[in-house]
Amino acid sequence: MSEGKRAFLKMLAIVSAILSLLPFTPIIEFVAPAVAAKFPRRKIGNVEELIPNSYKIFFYPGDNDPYLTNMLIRLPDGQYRAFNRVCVHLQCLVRYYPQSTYAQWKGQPTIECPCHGSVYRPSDAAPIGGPAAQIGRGLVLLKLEIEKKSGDIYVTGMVGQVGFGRYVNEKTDPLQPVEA
Amino acid sequence: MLDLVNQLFDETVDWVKQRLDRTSFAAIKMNVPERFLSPLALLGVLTLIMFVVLGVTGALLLFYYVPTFEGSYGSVVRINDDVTYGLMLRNIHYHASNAMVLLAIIHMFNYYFKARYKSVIRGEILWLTGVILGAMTVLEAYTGYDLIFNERAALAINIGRALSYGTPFIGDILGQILIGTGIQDLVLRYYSLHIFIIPMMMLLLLGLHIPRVFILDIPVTMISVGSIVLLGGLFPVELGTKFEPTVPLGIVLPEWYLTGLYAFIRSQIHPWVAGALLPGLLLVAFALVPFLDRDRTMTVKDRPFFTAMGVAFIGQIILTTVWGFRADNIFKPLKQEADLPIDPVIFNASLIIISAVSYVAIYGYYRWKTIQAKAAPRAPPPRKPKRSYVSTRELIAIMLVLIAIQIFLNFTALQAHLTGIRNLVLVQVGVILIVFGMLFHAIRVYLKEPLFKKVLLQ
Repeated sequence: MSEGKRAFLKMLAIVSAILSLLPFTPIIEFVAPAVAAKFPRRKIGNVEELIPNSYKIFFYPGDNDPYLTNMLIRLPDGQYRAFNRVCVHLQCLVRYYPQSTYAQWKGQPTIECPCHGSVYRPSDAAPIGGPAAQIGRGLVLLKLEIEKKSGDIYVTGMVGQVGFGRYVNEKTDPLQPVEA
Repeated sequence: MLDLVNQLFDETVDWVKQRLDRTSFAAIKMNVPERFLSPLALLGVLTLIMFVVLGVTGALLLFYYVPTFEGSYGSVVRINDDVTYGLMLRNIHYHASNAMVLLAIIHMFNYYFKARYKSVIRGEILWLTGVILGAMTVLEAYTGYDLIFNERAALAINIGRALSYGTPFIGDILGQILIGTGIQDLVLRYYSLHIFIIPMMMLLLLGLHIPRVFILDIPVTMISVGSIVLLGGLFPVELGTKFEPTVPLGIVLPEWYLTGLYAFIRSQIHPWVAGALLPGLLLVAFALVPFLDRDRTMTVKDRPFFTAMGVAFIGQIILTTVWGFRADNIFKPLKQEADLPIDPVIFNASLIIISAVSYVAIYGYYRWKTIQAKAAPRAPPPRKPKRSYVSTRELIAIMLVLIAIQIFLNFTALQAHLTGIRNLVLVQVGVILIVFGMLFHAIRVYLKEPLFKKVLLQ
């Protein structure tokens, strides 16, 4: 057999080997599941529970996952917001501060991380200070629904990925609770 | 009677050896040294022995460990407090892991300074697999101490998550690979990585890393394993506080081999740059060393540039590792959360200073030595003739004393076990193993040849 023929056959064998491995590449979806979590509609509180400028903590969608603790915030102007608590910097759990501990935001409420000093804005959880501002992603937003009759507050979903955070977009983010 | 036993032993060994010749076992050449070697020559073997110790103790710990988020900490508490010998196995497992990381680091630097990676001796693949194995050792240790799910594990898992999410372009996918759909997936992923995936990959790589001639120094092996057990008794491993999702972490530190990276992360650069990009570049730099240092010189003083680079790097490792334990100022102990952020200007400046100082000092020293040596070449010192310094009577006396110590320690260890002083048991068992190593060494010094030469040498 000539050298050229042999090289050609070798090349065909390599192509065939690659083609037989190709169908196995989607295995990545087994390791990185496309559906991160299911989001049930769950009651988390009532409008009469919180006074303005306060917050409470709840688990969603799981029940004991440390990275699925969230906070329902009532802003000073009476509006409701809910965010996941995992900081985008090093995954510590953030808290709502009715009065910021930083001189820069004196007298204003902030969301702050106790570990490395990241600061977020309570109205949309955009990073405004500390290492999170450098990373540039905000906290995961929880979609809220308020039942008009009973005043019960429900969570219906999440915007962003817990731990990774979300790219804050003032226009498209569903910040306002839906009234039902 | 004694002759018969001896003959039977030899014949059995011969029978087994002939059959083993048909297996791949025959390809491994075991070298059992008949005298005391420099421990530097044994670092690789000792690392492997720690790997074996970790495999054995880890396999036993599997019987009680529960890989769930709610159950893991409780199962470790149970191993610690209730399971018979549980604390001992956990102690040995913990100290052997620290020893393995430390030995691997020293092993790497030893071969770096001796230029054992060079093309002249075809050492590139040994070096490359060694670098990968070193990185995997740290990953194995990292996934291991995370399985306890105490606060230290929480910090480590948090940083692991932040590093995978922080990766540019593929961060969200990487994060999903590490975490799956939630904390329970993460627990099982770290678990399977720790007990199966990483160790199996390391075993495969070991096939490319262990040289064909393999030094098995029984006394040094026994003394090292004994020291691990002894250390386990003297410095028992801690449990830490349980990781409670709703309680802020407070001040926790990673294990000592990661405090260097932690200092970088604390110095306010982007966490992915500090915790993933920098160590990654470092690994690449180490992997490339054989392709950068290409000439035929092998000694430390003939390669002043690479020697000085190595020393400067050790200086950086020590500085960052120590700083990881300290406050924003390296001379201040870490007491409150406000001390965590390190000023990047001071941090990087001190890194540059320590690198420059070590580099200039070492480079200058070896240049000066070379110039001096050229001016006045010195004759090598005369070799001392070897001599045996143990007589038969002395050997028997030494062995009897050592065996008496072993008998005594066996009794006291049993007594300590029965009275429930578990740390003392570990100390005594450690000393028993060390004594065995000494006894073996005494015999080989006397015989001037390995005791089981026939068995192990081909």
